[in-house]
Amino acid sequence: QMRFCLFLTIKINHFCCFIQLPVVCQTSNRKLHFSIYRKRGDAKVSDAISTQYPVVDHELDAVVVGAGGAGLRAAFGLSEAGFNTACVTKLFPTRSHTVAAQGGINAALGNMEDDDWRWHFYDTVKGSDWLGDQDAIHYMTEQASAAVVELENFGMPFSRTEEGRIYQRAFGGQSLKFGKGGQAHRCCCVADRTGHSLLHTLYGRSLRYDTSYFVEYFALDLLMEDGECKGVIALCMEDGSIHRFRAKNTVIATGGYGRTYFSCTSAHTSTGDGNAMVTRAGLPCQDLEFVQFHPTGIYGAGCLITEGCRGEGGILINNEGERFMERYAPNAKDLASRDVVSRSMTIEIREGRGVGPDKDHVYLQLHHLPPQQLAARLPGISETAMIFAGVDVTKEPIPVLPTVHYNMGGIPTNYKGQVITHKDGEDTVVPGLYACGEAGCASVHGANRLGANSLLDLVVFGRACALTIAETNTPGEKLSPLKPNAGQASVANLDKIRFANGSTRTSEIRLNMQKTMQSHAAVFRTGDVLKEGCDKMDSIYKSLDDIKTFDRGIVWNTDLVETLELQNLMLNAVQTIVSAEARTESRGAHAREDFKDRVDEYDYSKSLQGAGTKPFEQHWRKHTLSYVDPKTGKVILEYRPVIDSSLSLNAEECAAIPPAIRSY
Amino acid sequence: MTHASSFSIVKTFFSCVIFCCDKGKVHNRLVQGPRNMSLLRVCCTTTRGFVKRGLFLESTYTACHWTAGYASGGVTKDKEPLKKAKTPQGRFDMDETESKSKDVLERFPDGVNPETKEKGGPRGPEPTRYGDWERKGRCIDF
Repeated sequence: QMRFCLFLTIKINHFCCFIQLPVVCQTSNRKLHFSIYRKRGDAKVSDAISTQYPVVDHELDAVVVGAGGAGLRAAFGLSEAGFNTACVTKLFPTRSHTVAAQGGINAALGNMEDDDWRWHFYDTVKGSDWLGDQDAIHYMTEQASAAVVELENFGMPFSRTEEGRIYQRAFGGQSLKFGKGGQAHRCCCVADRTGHSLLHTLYGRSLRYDTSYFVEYFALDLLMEDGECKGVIALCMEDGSIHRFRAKNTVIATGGYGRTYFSCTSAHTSTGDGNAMVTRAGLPCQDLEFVQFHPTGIYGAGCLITEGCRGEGGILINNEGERFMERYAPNAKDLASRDVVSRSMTIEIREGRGVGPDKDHVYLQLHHLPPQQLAARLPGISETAMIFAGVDVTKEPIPVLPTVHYNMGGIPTNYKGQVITHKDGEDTVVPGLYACGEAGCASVHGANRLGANSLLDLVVFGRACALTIAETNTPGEKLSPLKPNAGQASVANLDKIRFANGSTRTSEIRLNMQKTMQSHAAVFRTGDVLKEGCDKMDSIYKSLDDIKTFDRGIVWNTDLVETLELQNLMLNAVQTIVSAEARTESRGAHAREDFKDRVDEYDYSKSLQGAGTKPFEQHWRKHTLSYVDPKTGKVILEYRPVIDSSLSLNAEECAAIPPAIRSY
Repeated sequence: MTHASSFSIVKTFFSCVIFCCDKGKVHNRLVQGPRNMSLLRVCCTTTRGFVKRGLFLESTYTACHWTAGYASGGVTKDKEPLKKAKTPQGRFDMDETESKSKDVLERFPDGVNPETKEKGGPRGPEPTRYGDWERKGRCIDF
């Protein structure tokens, strides 16, 4: 009898194994953040586009393209709100370029002295040279403290004061009392790797939610229908399959496009994919001519050498061994401001006094300084010079040239993160499309970005996109129908490039483009130089038709992906140079030799009483919106006014700041 | 009982003992095989002599001890630690012994900067002293 009982218990146990009992007994009403049975069964394979390229369709509530600081924040913000989100990225999240941002993040927490976000707002508006949209800047600076505290709650290990509050240091042109109260201490950091820590914190936090990550999927194009964005089509690099991510909301957070220039601090993957996707969809990009340069970037490597080198006595020399800064800035010499130094270096290179086999850079000489002083004042510089330039800083000079660091321009959005176009004098929202991070242009940086503001931009607007989507949508909404062959043009382009058999290689065309942009659309901008550059870029764009690729496979075809990236870079490059040529003024990072002044609607250097205001077409305090015809490479420019009113209508809470002359 | 039969009993007893000691250690047996065999032979030869003299018990005890010792501890003596193959030294390769002391930016004691009392901040001199964010001669942000 005992034996029978034992047999029965074993049988029951066996039977129970086959029933899928829930892991958690759901007696409580609290909604769990994770789903127990992950929905992956929605992917359907079909031949809808082409029999050669079977397409896998995914249906989601939201898709985020890019997994840097902004992309991750948007992705898990959406998952937290309950949306079925996919994050499509061509790199593993912790490899995005955000990891290289080692500076700090600004926030008016008031830990070192009394601080107010309105003073931060003033500093940012002034830094943007009054081209920034004041409502977006208001939103960002007001949310800054909450954003930093939220990051700290996620586990980001900020450096602390003795009392345990977040330590803030003076950096990035920040002042107190609207510029009248001296230097403000607003920059929070994590030892010497804030961006790295931010990215890892956000990635770790995002794993608590059930965002589906599609890593190493290269996003090809947006799926647009009737002016509405219905998703993204992407190439899986690992197995060469095409995936269509259908979603009611698409967030673009693909980063900047530093790689259009020969010398830049960006990773090789900063190719402006988001900007190009939006351009091919027929939508505009905003303010692409505003590119931030730094005078002394190491030739070839792209790392920047600190201004402290010149501050400690380092000098810039040309191929004649002459200290050329004496001619351009007789008093300040090498300690002149960054833009003066950049322009002087570029003029020397253009006039043929550059060094090296291509005569395309200058030298920064430090070996005339005593080595002990150098090691004491600038520890680590000999190591940096040896690793990145291969020179012994106590014996040889370092090769340097002006280097691109950040792109202020991007996809135009409002302060909520929704992408906008300008039709009939009004800003209209493009339904279903959002942008944030360096790819978006809200525009908080305007004509010039202040230091430590870009990391803040990422988290605030990443969160803003997630909040806006959560406000206006509900999870699990039915998707509007999409044409079965949507994305066919992208796949046709992919096929064309995969079997391209012209005469020039991808790397040659890319180098041509980079060298042209570096010599014509860099720091030194005059009418004829820019015009010459526009014509050269036009011919380089046409040479894309004659491209040759070598790898005909579909699995991990890096030749194909690099060529797709080159197409994206080209679209960004032509818009940059044509917008720069059209803007006949100097504002922020866009400085022209032939138009040295800022042209606003009033002349703010004189008294405004009785002054006539210039009409919209004659002044330049406006955003550039550029459209490109992808087949010919022709750029069309339109303009959109700057938003001057801050978010609140109550002037006591936050008054808008009228433009003034920008001087530091 | 004849000498031969008593000797055969002792031999079987010894082989059992050695087998028991080695049961759990397969690889030892394979490695120590010849040694065990020689040990057994040694034990046998010694036993033959000791049985006569009455030193049998002592010799069995020692033999077992040796066997047990060889089974467990002999491994370390035989095996040398595996050395990592040394690749040719490159231009930027530092000597393994020097790398720790050559760190240019030193940690503050307990991670607290003595002047600014910042805990967990950047190592080395103040990064913002030249107006941009400097680290090891590189400009990180400006």
